[in-house]
Amino acid sequence: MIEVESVYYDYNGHSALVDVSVSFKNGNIYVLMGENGAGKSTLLKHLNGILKPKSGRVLVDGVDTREATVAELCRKIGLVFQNPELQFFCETVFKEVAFGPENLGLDSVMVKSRVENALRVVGLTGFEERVPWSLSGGEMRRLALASILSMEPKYLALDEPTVGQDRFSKENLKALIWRFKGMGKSVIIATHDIEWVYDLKPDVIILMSHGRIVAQGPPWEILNDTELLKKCNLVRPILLTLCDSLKLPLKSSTPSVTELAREIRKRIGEKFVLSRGF
Amino acid sequence: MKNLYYLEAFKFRKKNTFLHRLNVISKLPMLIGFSTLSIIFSGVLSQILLFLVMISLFSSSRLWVELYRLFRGNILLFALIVGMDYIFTRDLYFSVSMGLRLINLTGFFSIFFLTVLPSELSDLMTFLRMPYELIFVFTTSIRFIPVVIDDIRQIMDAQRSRGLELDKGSFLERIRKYLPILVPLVVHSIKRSQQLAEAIESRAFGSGVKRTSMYQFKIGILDLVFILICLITISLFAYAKISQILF
Ligand SMILES: Nc1ncnc2c1ncn2[C@@H]1O[C@H](COP(=O)(O)OP(=O)(O)O)[C@@H](O)[C@H]1O
Ligand SMILES: [Mg+2]
Repeated sequence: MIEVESVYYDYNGHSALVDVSVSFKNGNIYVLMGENGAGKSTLLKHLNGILKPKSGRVLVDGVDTREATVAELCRKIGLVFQNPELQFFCETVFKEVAFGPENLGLDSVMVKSRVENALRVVGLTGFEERVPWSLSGGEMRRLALASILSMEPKYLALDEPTVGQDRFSKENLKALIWRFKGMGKSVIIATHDIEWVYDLKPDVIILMSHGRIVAQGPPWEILNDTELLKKCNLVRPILLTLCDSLKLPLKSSTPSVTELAREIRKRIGEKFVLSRGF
Repeated sequence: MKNLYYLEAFKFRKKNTFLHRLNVISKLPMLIGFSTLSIIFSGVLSQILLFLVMISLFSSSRLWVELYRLFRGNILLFALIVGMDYIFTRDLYFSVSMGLRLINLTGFFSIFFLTVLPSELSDLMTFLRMPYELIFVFTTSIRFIPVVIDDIRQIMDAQRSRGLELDKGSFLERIRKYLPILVPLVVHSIKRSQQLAEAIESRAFGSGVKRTSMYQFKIGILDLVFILICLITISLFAYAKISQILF
C-alpha cells in the first residue's frame, strides 16, 4: 500500500500540491484527473521519491520515501513519464529495456527473460534490434512502458499514457492495466482522457484541481457530477450524456456501448429494430 | 540536481528592481569593465574589492536568492581551484585570489544575464548593426537555455526512475553514468533544431527582405547615473593598477 499523508510541495514558492492525502491499495486501478497544471505529475513523482514532500510524508509499503533512494524505490514502483522519448540512449530496443533490470543487478539470463517478457506484453516482440528513435510515437511510448515493466514493479504509475496513441493501442493499454490488476498489483494513472477512463472502468477516480484533491470515488459517482467535472476543466463522457438525453434509467451507472445499445433496443422494440435491419 | 542549480544563476528572472529597469546599454560598461578588471588583477585585496562591488550590485536589486545560487553552484569549483593552486604554488593568497576571480567573473556575467531580457540583447545587437542571422542564432540559443534545463531535468528524472544512481561509484563509473543523460539530450536537441528550422522557414525567415523592428532605446537619468558610477569605479581600479597601489 502507498500512503500519501498531507503532502505539501512547491516549486520555488509556487505551490503544486497542497495538503494531499490519499492511499493506494493493492490490486486496484486508480485514475488521477484534473486540469493541466493540477499537480498530477507532481503527485506521481512523489510516489517513487523523485520529489520529496516539503511537509507531510509518503509511505511505500511502510517505507518513508525520504529515507530511501529513488534506486531502491523504483524496484517497487515503476513510473512511466509523459515524454518517454526523452530517455532513450541505447542503440537497440533490447538494450534500452535491459537498462532497468541491469541497474537492479540481475544476471544476464534473468535480464534476457525479463526483456523478452516485457516486449511481448507491450506488443514489441521482433523489435529487439531496432533503433529506439526510429520507432513511431506510439511505439516509443510502448517501449518506455516496457523499459519499466522489465523491472517488474509492484506498483505501476503512468503519466498521460494515452497521449498520441491510436484507438488500438489504447485498447491494448487498457487490457494491460487490467492484467496488472489481475496479478494483485495496483496501477495509478494520471490523465485527462475522460472517454478512455470511462471505458477503462477504474476502481477509483481522484479529481485534482490547483494542487488539491477535490473529490474521489467510484467512476459512476465522479463522472456523473457535471459541476465537479467542470471545475477541473473536464467534460462528462459522451455515453452518459446520451443516457441523460434519452432519459434512460440504468442499473449500472456507467454502461458500455453494448449495454446502452441493448437498452435502446428494448425501448424502441425489437421488431422495429429488426425490420429496419439494425 | 546540483548541476542544474548552476545554470539557474544565468537565467533571466522577471522582476521590477533597480537593475532590471536599466537599459541594456547602461549595463554594458559594468559587464565589460568589471569582468576585464577581474582578469587583469591577481592580488587578493583587489579581488576582494571586486567581490564587494559584485555583492553590492546583487544587493542593489535584492537578488539574494540568485546570489545564493551563484555561491552554491561555484563552491565546488572554487574549492578545486584554491586546492589545486595551493598544492602547486604553496601560496595561499594567490590560490584564494584565483578562486575569487572565478566567483567575480561568473558573478558579473550572472548579474548581466539575470537582469537583461533575451529580447533586449537582440535589440542591442540590432542597434550595433550586426547581421540579423547572427542575432537570431544568438538569441535563440539563449532563449532555449531554460528549455534545455527543463529537458535535462526530465531526462534525469526518467533515468533515475529506471534505477540509475548518478552519485554512486568511482570517478570513471560516474562519468560513464552521464551517458544516459547526454545521449537523449543531444538527440532531442538535434530533433528540436530541425523542427525549429522547418518552423521558421515556413514563416518566411531568410527571405532577404529588410525586417521591420519596433524598438527604440530610451536612456533615462537613472541609466546615466549608473553608467557614471560604473565608469568612476572602473577608472579608480585602473588608476590603482597603473600607479601600482593594487595588483
Ligand atoms: N519543474 C517545474 N518547475 C516549476 N514549476 C513546475 C515544474 N513542474 C511543474 N510545475 C508547476 O507545478 C504545477 C503542477 O504541475 P504538474 O504536476 O505538472 O501538473 P499536471 O501534471 O496536472 O498537468 C503547475 O502549475 C506547473 O506549472
Ligand atoms: Mg502532467
